[in-house]
Amino acid sequence: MTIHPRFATLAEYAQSELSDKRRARVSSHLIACPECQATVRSIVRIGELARALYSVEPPADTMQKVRERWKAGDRIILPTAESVPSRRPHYRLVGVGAAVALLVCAVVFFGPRTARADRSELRFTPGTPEPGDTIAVEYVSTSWLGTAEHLYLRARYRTAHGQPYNRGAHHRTISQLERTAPGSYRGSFVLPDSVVYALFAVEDSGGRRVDSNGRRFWELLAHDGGKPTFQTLVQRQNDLIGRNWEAALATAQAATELHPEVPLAWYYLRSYQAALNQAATDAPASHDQANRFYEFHSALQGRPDLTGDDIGGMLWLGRISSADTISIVYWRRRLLEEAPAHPLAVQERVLETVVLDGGDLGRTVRDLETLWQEVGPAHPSLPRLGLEAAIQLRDTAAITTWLERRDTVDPWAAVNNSMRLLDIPALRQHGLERLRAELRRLMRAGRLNRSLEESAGEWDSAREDRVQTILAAIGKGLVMSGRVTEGLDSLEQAAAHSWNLSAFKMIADVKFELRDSAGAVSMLSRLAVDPSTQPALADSIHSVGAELLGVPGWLRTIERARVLMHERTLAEASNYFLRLDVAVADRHGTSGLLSDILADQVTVVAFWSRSCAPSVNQIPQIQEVTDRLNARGISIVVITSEEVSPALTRFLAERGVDFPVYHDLNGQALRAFSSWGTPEYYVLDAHGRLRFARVPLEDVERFAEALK
Amino acid sequence: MREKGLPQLPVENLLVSRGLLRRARASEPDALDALFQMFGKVVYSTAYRILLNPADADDVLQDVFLGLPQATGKYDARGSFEGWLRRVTVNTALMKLRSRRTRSQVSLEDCRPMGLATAPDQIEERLALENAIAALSEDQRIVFVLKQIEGYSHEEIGRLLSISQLASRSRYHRAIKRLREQLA
Repeated sequence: MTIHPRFATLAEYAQSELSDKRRARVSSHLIACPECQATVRSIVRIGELARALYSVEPPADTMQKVRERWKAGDRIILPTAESVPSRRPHYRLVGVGAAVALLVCAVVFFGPRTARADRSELRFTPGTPEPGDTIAVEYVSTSWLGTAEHLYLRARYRTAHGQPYNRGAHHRTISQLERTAPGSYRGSFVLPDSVVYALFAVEDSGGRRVDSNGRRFWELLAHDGGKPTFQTLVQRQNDLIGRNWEAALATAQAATELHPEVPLAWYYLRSYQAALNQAATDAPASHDQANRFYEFHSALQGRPDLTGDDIGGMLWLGRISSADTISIVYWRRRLLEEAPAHPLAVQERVLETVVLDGGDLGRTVRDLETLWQEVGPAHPSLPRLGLEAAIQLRDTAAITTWLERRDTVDPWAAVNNSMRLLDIPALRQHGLERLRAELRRLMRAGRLNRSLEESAGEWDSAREDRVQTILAAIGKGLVMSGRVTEGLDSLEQAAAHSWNLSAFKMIADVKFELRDSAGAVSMLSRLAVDPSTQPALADSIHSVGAELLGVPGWLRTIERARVLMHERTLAEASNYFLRLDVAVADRHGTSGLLSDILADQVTVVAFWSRSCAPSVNQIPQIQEVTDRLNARGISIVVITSEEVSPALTRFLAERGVDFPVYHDLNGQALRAFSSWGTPEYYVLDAHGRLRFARVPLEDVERFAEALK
Repeated sequence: MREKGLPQLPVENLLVSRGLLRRARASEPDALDALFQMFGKVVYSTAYRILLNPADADDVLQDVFLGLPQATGKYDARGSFEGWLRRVTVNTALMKLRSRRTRSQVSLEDCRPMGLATAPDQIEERLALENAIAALSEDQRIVFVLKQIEGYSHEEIGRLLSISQLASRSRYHRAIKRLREQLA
């Protein structure tokens, strides 16, 4: 059953009054719900009509009456500032000295974070380069890298157009470093003109050992006029997203100090603060933020020389500052009129097209096609939604076209998109061809483009995972196409080293078809021992297995499957120590240290939020998993950033929640786990080491059990 | 890289010069006439949206321009003059509304605007909306106008009308819902 947003929510959506998070949630619902689209359209239309109403000419003689009353001594004291809510700002924008701001950056960039004993150094000359500069490098190693004759400097370059996250990022070896003294190396490289931000790591020949400065890397920020450019700081934020949100926030803060005149800088800062729940902790700052938009608005409205960044920045700053609708509509209109091909304008136009087309997918595909012809790959949302609409419409020509476009914008999503084609009979063959091409590319790919922190061995392992995923998908596609033997071959290759229930199930199905019952139940035994398998299905498998193999034979098969599951699960484990002396409070408000709560047992840590729909939807499953884990002596700790309150307690009680919920005091736990978003699940061993990060809820039990 | 300076002070972007305001403050007839030419329609329309009565809107228009010489002293030139004037008008209209409530109810026959700035092909749709707005309860209509047309936040509306933000939100959503039903 579809749950529609409440009318009030749709009205607030139409008024651009929802938070980014809620807005995104409603947008994703709207895309698939013609009914709610129609509601939003009608609300928007009412607003448009209302604003055009009552533009009424005053009576012709009013001013004459005013003069007569004035002559007669009539005076009026108007209700002005005393009773008028003020939107005027309470501050002045001031520039901050670059040196101060750079100090902030330096703390962020190089502040102590790890306990590595073998800290090494990478020095650049000049330290504040401009694009195109030749940069001398000196690497001083106290680590195990210091014995080699040559080392290699690798880099991840970001241009001004880089997207958030590092999916599909390009990495390259840029310089060979020669040893000049024991543990000391020198080299040089040219920073390409287009690069605004670069990260570096040092490794030995073949990439067997990598010094990534404790995954912090070393970095260079392109400067202009003695300070990092705004685009440089944006790219630093984009790079930090997903790997260190706190540093991303600090970078956004530095950007507002170095570039206070850029509206977008303030929008980014406000976004990070809101996301990290930090704005509320500083009331004066929050007050300033609420008024900052109006300061900019007064200063910039009417100025004809603004860039798309400025105008788009004003639109989003207005939205996140809960500015009045007229101001937001003003900046939105200017963005669409003055910079219609700017990425932020394209994003607006894409969403508007989808909503205004009212669920008419054919029209949406046509309208997005027209938009593409005009602006091309200006914003990733265009090929993403174009492909979605084409897939929903089952328009094979449009799917193929949009798929190619999406490949150019989001190459990292190519495999997943190819897998989706397997469910469309007319495009299944095309999907298989794309997957095979991706497999060939992956097999040919050298280690040169691996992530900076990844050693050659780690990259090999990650590539193996990707190969198995693609092989399983190819196997599935072949079986669906009726090419059973070929499909089985691919599936067995995929299942040879990983724990892939989908592949196991499909192999079992095929083996039953081929009358290989023993082979089939052997595969099914893996499903039976996996905790994510539905109990009813597991029971059925046990009955069939016992019938086919006899009880003793089936029990041996089950035991082998369990050992295999643990082996393959543990092969995926990481091994990180976390700082767990962070303060949390239980639902009664009693505070304590997370390390004490997790004491000496395998524990699942979940980050959860009452305001996050997926989190709320998972409550029943979390409760079930909790019950089963507790029965095996494994605990679960659910952490929320929301303060303990009667409302939260009532919410949990109404849903029969029995699992322990803790408030993350000051966001310390969030930082300790480098967590972002909810729901997220982590599994720690009895020594408090993080072994599995961000695992799906359905796999939590398997990971936790493997550590017992 | 483009050199970006600090934002210019808003006074440079205003339609109204400081000189004009200074002369209006001194009650110079020419200055008041000029302001009336520029903002008479805005003031009247704003008042009309709230009061839905031409005579009351005209009263507000007169009051605003009578009080303008004294009131402009409180305008500090840091925001748009038009925005400030609209707020003064809203406040004045709300005062009028409160005094009217103690007098009598306004009849719907009075609630017809005298002219519509609309394209011919949209007149029907807008007349329908106009009638639908007129049919709203006064509480809902005021909140709808302040929110949808004047661009006030619910927090500001709450302060203006001495109601809670929640009440403002609720009246606004009920108004929109009612308008949708009437226009369906």
